[in-house]
Amino acid sequence: MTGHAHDLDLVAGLAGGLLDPAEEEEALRLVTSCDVCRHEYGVQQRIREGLAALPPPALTETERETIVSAARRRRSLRPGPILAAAAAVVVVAVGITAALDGDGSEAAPVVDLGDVTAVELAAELDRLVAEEAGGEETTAFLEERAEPEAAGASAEPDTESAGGAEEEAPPPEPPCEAPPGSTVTVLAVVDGRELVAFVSPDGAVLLDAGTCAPVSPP
Amino acid sequence: MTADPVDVGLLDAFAAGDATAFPTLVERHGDLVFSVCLRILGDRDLALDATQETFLTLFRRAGSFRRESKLSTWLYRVAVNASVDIDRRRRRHLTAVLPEGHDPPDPAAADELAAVELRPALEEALAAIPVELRAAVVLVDALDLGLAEAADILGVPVGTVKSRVFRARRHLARLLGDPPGNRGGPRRRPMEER
Repeated sequence: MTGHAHDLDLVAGLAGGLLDPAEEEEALRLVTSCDVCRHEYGVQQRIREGLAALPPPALTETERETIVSAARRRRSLRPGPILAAAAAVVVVAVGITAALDGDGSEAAPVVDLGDVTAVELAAELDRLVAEEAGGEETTAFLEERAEPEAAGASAEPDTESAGGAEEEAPPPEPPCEAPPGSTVTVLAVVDGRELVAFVSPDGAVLLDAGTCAPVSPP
Repeated sequence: MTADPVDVGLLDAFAAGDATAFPTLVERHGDLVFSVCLRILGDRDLALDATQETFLTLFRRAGSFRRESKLSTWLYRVAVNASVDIDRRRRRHLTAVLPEGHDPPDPAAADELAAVELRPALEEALAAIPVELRAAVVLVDALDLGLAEAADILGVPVGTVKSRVFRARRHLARLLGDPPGNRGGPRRRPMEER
């Protein structure tokens, strides 16, 4: 059986035409001369055909409209004035930048995410916790999310960084008292509910911004 | 592999402020992006989240898209990354993924994979294999993309894509009760390789 390991990959390539002509000739020879290879080819072919036969899913018109409007909303409806939104985005993009209190002492930075889905909030909290813990949790996808504003490589008509506004906007105020040890405060609105999360290297504590009562993580 | 002129025109129109360009891009590519996300995540709501993230990324980064590559390839790459990311997060937060003693499907099922009534079993099995293998087999077998494009999307060599596709099919066959290359031998317990 182990002697067939390489040959089985060759045979597997027959399903779906993933071989060059020379490999295909050899694979066909194996399929016709070896029971194990023939069985392997059958299995590979059946799975491939099964996957190809799965009906292609389609978005409904409503879902498509939701995607379009969500992209526009994320661009234009971050909470607070657009200048504050730009500041929040820049904070996320370049890493966490500490805000300064009135007396000049360093305060925990506040990241205002605006309207997000539960999944997006969970992703951002995961990323921030990992970052605070000194890890490198960020995936390519999250890098995609954090990069553009820093690079200024955006083609959108309503460019966020115009006018150096990020330097003028005051940081949003956290509505609840931060627990000891928290190093980043995150504000977000999920399904219309305002939430605040306090991030530390050990994790994130999620509170309802109105009552300051703990809520389950999204 | 260069971008479709229609996509280039839409991206240019979008950059120029044409409000109809972005919905048209979603119209053109939305179903296939959603298809990638749904096949990887196996959950419509999560797939919609991943699809939304994909097009949000397009919305923000349309200007940095390199015109010498296909827009669909670029979108698939973002969609796969978004889906894999969501899948990993979901699994990290799940406390009970599958019940103990999950009954193996009927071994004869693998002989009739194309039958409509077996699609849920195949979709369930797809959700149970490692996400790296799932992404590869979805792109190559379910979406019928070429190895080179799949490799570009996944950011791995062509040989790695091939290997992942073969391993994915074997995982799926095993989960469906048909161990590959082992006809007549001891049958592994399905669903054991999560």
